[in-house]
Amino acid sequence: MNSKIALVTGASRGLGINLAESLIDDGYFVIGVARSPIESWSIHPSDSFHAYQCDINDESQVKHLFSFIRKEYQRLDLLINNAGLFSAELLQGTTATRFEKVLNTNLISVMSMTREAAKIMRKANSGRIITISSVATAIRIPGNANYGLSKRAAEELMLDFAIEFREVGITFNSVRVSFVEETGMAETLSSDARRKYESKLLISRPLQPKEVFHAIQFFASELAGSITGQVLALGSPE
Amino acid sequence: MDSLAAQIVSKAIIDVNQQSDDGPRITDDQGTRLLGDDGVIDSLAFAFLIVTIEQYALDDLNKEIVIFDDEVMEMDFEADNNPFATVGSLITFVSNKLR
Repeated sequence: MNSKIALVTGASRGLGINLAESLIDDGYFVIGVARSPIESWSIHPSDSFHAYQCDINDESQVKHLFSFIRKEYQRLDLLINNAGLFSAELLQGTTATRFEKVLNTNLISVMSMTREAAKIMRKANSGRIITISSVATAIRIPGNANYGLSKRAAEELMLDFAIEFREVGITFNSVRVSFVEETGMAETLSSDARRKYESKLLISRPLQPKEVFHAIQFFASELAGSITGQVLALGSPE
Repeated sequence: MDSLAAQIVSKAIIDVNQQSDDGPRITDDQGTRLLGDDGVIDSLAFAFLIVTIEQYALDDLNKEIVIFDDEVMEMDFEADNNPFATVGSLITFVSNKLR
């Protein structure tokens, strides 16, 4: 295959679909991953898109996903860790099980996916790994502790991967987003919580999906090979 | 099982050597020492060797093995009798994992 190959998690809906479609428009062949049955996805298999059902919280399923990629495509150029689990819950009301569930999706699965992607990319001495993070890492309000912590840790994880894989030709970065239009993100928050976020954002209007993709394109570009372990914050104060 | 283990270890060695800036470093000689003062690879190359073996086990043999399991993580990798001391002992260890 001549096209570059990108893998997008959480590709069945929301921002994942936007990213997958934008990558296809950019000439990539995209492998989309999501846990739900493929028939229910809002994006359908095509010559430029392969849908792969996989629970990224299950390490064995992740290993088989990457075995499939190695055998079918022999390489991977870009991984976007987009899948995420939002949580708006006060610490005093949460349970260890719910806390763990958010950490599993937003942190542990990012580790598994990034580790496996880096193994393929290392053979080519080239690759880009980008994790979608959140302004909740920088803006702390009551109710976002679990989610914000998991995303902060995921950003740190990218930096740690960058250190371990230094000079191998793979870059690891994060794009920190606020509410993105057309993705349903804003609807997950109460209006009070949303007002608190917006009052602290530098750019309080919702982001357009193409603005997020622009940041992805930047990190994925040929000339960004020396930019690694970084966070690009869209509209966020830090 | 030993021959399958030798096969995937050999493929992984080729991959590791291709990553080496200084040219091939590990030979197929089963006595080649991997780690320690007279070892031929550093810890990062060793980690790459191990994960590549795991990949070939899954891709070629459909066997999902974990080499760095809890027992291994408690081992002294510098000790002479550790399973990763030489290419030969590594093949034996992988062979047991594949059973």
